[in-house]
Amino acid sequence: MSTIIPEQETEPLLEPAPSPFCAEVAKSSIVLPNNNGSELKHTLDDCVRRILVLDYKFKEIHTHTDRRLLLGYAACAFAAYASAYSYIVPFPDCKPVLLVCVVAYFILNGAMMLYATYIEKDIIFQGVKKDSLGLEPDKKITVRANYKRFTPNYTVTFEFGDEKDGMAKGVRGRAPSPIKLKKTFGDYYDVEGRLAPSVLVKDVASVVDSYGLKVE
Amino acid sequence: MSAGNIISRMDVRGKIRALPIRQTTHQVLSVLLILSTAMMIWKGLVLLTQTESPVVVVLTESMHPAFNRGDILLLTNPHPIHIGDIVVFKIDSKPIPIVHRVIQLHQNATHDLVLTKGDNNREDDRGGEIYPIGKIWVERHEVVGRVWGFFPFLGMLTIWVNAYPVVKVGLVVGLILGALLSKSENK
Repeated sequence: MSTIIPEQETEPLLEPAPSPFCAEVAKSSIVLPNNNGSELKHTLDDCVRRILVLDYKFKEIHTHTDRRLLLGYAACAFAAYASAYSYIVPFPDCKPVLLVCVVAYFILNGAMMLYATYIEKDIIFQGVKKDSLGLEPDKKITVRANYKRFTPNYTVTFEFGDEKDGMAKGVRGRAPSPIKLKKTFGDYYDVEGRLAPSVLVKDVASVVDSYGLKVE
Repeated sequence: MSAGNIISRMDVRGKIRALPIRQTTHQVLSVLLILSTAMMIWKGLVLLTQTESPVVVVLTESMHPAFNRGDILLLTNPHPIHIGDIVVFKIDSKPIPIVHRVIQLHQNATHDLVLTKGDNNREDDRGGEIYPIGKIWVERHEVVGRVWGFFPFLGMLTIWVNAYPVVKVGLVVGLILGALLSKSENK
């Protein structure tokens, strides 16, 4: 079941406030070939991120990405050093340095992949929002996205609070539990693969608004 | 049209703090990782086989019928070398390594020495064609390794690619472009 909602130059009728994300997409519409589930999933992930950053003014937390980048670049540094060193110093003499570098490279590379698989898992976004009046504590959000291969099913899970605490305390001591959005690609893309951003905005809003945040 | 291109177009829309620094860094990293993994696997092989050149390509017909031009040879570096071993050696006067068979062993005060001859050659390597005039032995440290296995014909690819450097450059550029454009992970 696909819904095509025409993009309007003026505010969409769904929200009282205009969605900056929809405005941004309206400038360059997104059309994807609709046989590549992985691309469809990643584009939706990117859209969810942009909605949370643009519409809800979350500030993205890059910790996981930064750690993976660090591990990756450290591994490449060892590889570069090994290459340069073995170029300058001829073979039998460069063996000890080479051994250390090769081992270090595979350890760091392996660590990076393990981190992505077991620690980061399916997280696509982590953000924090500071209360402008300074009255309430920071609101943290963790978003995970899943898609089964060869199916059109796309599930987004929103967790509020700090992921380290698991169920953190919400406003007034309530512990908000994660909210799952079980959708399909057909809910957001039409037959030609064109993305309908306002549908996605509405769905994200239904989750985020229940936590008490509004589009700004 | 990949997600990476779409989102980078969306990003580069003059929005404040929309500079895709992290994204670019991430894409550069994936290219670097491909190159690094290839390089580290090669260096790992070097360490494993104890020779600076674990894989070589035969360039001449001097070992016919055992090896022909274009065969890929696998090397290790055992001590000691025996008569009858097929070895690859590199001497300073020649830019490319040579694959020939050991026919004599010798020792002097400082080095273990080896005399080689191509199976398909009439004479041993002394006399100026292979060894320069005045050199009558190959020293052990000039022997890169001993052949323990081979793949016929596959090395012709390397020979062709080296004959036309354009192909080599094109392959590397194509690989890098492919890694950048088909990148669908935008974390």
